[in-house]
Amino acid sequence: MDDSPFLEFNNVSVNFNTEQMDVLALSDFNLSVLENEFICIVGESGCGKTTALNVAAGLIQPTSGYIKFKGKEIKGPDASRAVVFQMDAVFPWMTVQENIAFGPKSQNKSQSEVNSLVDQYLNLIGLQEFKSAWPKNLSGGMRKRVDLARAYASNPSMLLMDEPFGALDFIMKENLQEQSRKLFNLDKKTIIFITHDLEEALFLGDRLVVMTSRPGTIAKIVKCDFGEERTFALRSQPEFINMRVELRKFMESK
Amino acid sequence: MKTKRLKLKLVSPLSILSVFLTLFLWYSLSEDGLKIISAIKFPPPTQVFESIEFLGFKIFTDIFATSARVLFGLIVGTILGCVVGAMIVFSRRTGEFLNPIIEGSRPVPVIAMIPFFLMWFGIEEPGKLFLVTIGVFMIVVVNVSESIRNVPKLYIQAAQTLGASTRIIRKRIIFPAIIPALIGPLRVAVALTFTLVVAAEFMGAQNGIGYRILEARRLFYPQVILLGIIQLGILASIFDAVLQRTMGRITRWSGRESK
Ligand SMILES: Nc1ncnc2c1ncn2[C@@H]1O[C@H](COP(=O)(O)OP(=O)(O)O)[C@@H](O)[C@H]1O
Ligand SMILES: [Mg+2]
Repeated sequence: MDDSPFLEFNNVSVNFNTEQMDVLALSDFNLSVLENEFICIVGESGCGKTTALNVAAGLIQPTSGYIKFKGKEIKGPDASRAVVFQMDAVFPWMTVQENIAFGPKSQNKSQSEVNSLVDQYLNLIGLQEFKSAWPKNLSGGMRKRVDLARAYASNPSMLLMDEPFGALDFIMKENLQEQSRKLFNLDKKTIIFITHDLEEALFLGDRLVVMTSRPGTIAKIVKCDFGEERTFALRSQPEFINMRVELRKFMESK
Repeated sequence: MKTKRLKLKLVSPLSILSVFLTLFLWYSLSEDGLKIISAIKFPPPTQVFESIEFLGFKIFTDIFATSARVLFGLIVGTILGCVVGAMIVFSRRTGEFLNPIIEGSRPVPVIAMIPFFLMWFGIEEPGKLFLVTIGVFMIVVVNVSESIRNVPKLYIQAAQTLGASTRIIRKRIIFPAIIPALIGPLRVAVALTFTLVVAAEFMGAQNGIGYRILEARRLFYPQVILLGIIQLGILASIFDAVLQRTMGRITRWSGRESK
């Protein structure tokens, strides 16, 4: 691991021109993500989090500034940066296993490789019995897990997750948070994780980026030194609570 | 699951009742029963039944000829409509070039072109096949390009970030995504093909249900006309049912209730 940034936003601005108005969704956004880092971006709804993620994915081109991945400017989407979208993006016309197999198959992996990846990730998300089910027959939480498995199975260099647990009930959410961090600890695959939930961001991230809105930009970047292993107990530790209270105050003052 | 399938297959008692009531009403009002309607205006069931015997083997050749024309128009028109409809969206230039032609000729009733087809093809087969194919094509092409434009961008973006090429996106994302939206238009197309085939057969043919109806009018056999109408009704329902079943199977993944 060297210290040159893995993903680098350099003075990125994004302007949406619509008939009604111009929205400066992102303004002078500067962020360097290191390899093997778990970065969380928090901010209120509408502050430009999704826009920032879409720029990283290559789905939106910056109006000004540039974004580089592994030293090369990002020109469009590709399989090196998998996205777990905020909205339900599981393909409804594919079964659970076909969804998970989509990435490796599209990348021309051999059938045996595809099968073993599908099995591996079906196990991980605990949906083996549902492998032939249509997404319409799954709950929202199950579909989100399929979405995550699909992203991992495509073997990206980094993951971009947009409020993946936003719509889940809190027990499911806390379980998935713990699992996500565990999964990250296994191979340290770089993650940008977007959330509006401050506690979630603190629990998961190595670093935490606080965004403010209108225009969407970075207000503060803090390190979360809570070690690699994150378990339920962390939530009740004084350092964790103090940091949460402090950041909450900071975000409110903005 | 099993019981549900069985239940769906069963015809509702009310539907059976309505069929029987209609037949009964027909029977009792006609010359078979109370003789309220004369056989010349509306032939009784017995006469229609007798006409089956009278026509004999011709019934099958007629049904075959009409069905073959309908099937040809549906299949070729749908395939062409899908290909051209997709090209219009995928290639901006093709779209710009073809749109005025298609949009300009779409509102014209295809039946109005029949005299031209007669001039070009006489009463030969190609004219009829051309007519139905165009009718189906016009419906499918617009609906295909419209539904391709309506495929949620999210799915395409998701596929891109998973490493899918344009070809894979078209085959595995766009194609399956538009199918539910095509069921309605295809059902409309089925109804239209029957109209067009019968119209074409009216204009000149040597076989087919439409031809038989026209011939019966000339020779004054109202019972054969009625038989032809009944044949068309049954045939069109079968086509529609097969279409709905097939599409229902293909779109099992969608929330749509299949019949
Ligand atoms: N395609 C778009 N066209 C116009 N405005 C947009 C578009 N996408 C996002 N915006 C605007 O940009 C701002 C940031 O949006 P977004 O990045 O989705 O915020 P967040 O994900 O933090 O909720 C919002 O004000 C939103 O209305
Ligand atoms: Mg968002």
